[in-house]
Amino acid sequence: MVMRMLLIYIILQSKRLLSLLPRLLIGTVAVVIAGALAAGLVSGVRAGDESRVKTRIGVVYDEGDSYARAGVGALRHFDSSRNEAEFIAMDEAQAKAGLIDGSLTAYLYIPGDFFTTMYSDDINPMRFVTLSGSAGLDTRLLTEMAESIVRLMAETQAAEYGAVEYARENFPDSNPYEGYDDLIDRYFAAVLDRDKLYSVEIIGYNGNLSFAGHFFAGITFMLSAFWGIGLSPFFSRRSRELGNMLSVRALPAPLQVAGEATVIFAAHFINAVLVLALGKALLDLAGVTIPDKLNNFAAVAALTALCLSSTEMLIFELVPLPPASLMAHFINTAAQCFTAGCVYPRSFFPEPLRTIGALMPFGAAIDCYGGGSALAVTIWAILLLCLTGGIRLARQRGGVS
Amino acid sequence: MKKLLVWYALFTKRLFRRPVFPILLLCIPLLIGTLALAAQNEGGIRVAVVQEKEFDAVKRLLDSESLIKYELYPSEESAREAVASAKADTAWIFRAGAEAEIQKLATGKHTSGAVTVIEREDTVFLHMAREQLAAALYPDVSFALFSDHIEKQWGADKSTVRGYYALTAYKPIIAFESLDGQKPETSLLLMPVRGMLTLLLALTALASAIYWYADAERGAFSRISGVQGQLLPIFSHFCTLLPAAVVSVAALAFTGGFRGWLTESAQLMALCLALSAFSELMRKICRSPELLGALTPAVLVALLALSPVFTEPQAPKWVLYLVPSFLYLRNAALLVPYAIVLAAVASVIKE
Repeated sequence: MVMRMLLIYIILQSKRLLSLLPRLLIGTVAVVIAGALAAGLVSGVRAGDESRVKTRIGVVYDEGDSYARAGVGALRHFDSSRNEAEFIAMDEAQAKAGLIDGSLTAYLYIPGDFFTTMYSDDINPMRFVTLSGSAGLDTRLLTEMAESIVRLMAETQAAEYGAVEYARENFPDSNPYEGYDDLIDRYFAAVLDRDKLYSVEIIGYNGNLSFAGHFFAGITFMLSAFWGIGLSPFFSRRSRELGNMLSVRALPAPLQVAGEATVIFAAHFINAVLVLALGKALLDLAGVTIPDKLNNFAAVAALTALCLSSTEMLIFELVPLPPASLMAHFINTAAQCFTAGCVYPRSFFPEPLRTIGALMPFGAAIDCYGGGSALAVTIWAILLLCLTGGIRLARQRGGVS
Repeated sequence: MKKLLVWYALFTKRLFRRPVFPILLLCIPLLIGTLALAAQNEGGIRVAVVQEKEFDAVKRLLDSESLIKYELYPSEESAREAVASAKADTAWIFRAGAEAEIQKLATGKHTSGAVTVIEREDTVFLHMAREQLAAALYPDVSFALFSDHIEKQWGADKSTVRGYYALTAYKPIIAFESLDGQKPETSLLLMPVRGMLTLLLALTALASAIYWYADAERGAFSRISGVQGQLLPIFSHFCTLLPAAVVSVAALAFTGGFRGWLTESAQLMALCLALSAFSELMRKICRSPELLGALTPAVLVALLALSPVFTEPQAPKWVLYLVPSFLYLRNAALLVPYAIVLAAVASVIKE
């Protein structure tokens, strides 16, 4: 009797969900296209991709200063920066205007006396100017790289001044610039050969996701998670009266939750498969390959669906009506996706946050993309669904309003 | 004014009828505050550093302020293990013979490298991080090259030339600032907060638009017509956004780059206005709560992709200028005219 009621309940809920499905599918395609836009921003995460759109950074400096000129030239041509950013010389007024109208991400201002104050305690520093709260990790790293390159120029300048000074003091009758051109050539050769200072050994990402794999997992998971917001009409239009009636007629609250969770799981599973397949097709179209082997799509989609459906069941049980339900969904999704490492790899975070991120349901689900254990996701799903069932039970018994 | 306040109370009352809405609102500054606390223990690219003997370059790296976090490891094995297990993003092993290798590079001889870099794979981030390694080693290269030149050119003893080489202080040479002169947020954890709050407000506005369909269906405000009738839904969205905007200002106070209460409040009010008009336009275009609900995640993801939240958006300028979150993060002065234009467009679209 109970099983039959449960089956009927699942069919009823499926019909309700199916009435939303065409629109949800439109939403999925739109989400993936929007996501592809986002992915386009990070698809150049592997080194050496010259085709990607570059971050535009203005550089304000005195073009008559040979060291500043050499530094900016180095920024434009060094492998580490040229693939990532376009450094454009301009005056400060143009740079400010570019920042405001969105054509520049930031600008670097090198004061005229920067290279001469470098050796004093009173350095007149370069200024890296952005708009508040709008520069990302890539911009910050580019700045630090610019700082490193300027240090190379400053050291070079120190040596060249020192060589001339030595000759003047110790050989006043000689031309202090004798051999100077040779010195400059040697310095520029050293700057260009600076990568010979180290040897790089790649050990592979055994058991971990590659950077590209990580971004693919992160973005597809995040898209699936945000897609759940579209399910809010399914939850907000549940009939509480029907639930109460069923609970006294052989279908207790926990089984109602199980029935609804089955339907939501199926919706998320279909969606996750669609997102993964579309994502993969778009990557293939763009000629981007993911170097590591992700878990098979069906398993990943099932675990994603299990994690997201159980989380949503609890959220929408606690907060059934919009706009609060959508806000709760967004806050949970944004916070968990961020700490799970959907945006930046989890290794970039401080230790406590890394641990929390790995322990949370979304973190456990992301780890499954690279072959992690499904146990944590399953335990979380059971826990969340039990909690949802408990709340529903208490609510139907009149304990919770 | 009194009438406006009555309408405001009417639209806001229903939100606060259930305790969950204020609880959720309180969660926002709480979450950001927690992130700000976590941010004190900074994150970033993690480098496991091993030195087989003491090096000035390592000291330079450890003393530097950077998004790259250096941690000393006792042995090469432990550093390799840290990289393999993703506890560190890369390991830099400073060999005992590093000085000799630096000398070789300075004198143009073949070198096998002073430092061994161990990575799981080569990425742009690690490529950029290695520039810092080169910069930290370069003073030693530069001095080696300088003394070699003096010796060869002028026959001087290398040990006597140090005084002629002006040592540059290894202290910060770049000051970060925002266009309004404030110190911008530089923490990896807090950098996206402003953008994420903008998206939360966008979602709240869209949720309010979904909610309005039910009001319209019930005919709750059908007696109000004309311009007032056109503006009423926008005002309703604005009222829904206002409490969220107030807590957003409070949350932003936890982050760097806070522009002051007055400026932040004014700019967030302008954003609320723009988002209200934007969501009303979406409501008029979608015509049903199901379609708007289904498109809401796509709109959110598009806003995320087209705004400088995590990375810089790469799209034509005219596209970016259609995005309210982009305008707020980049040029808040345009938000009010943007809202007026969108409200006008929304008003000509029939229900």
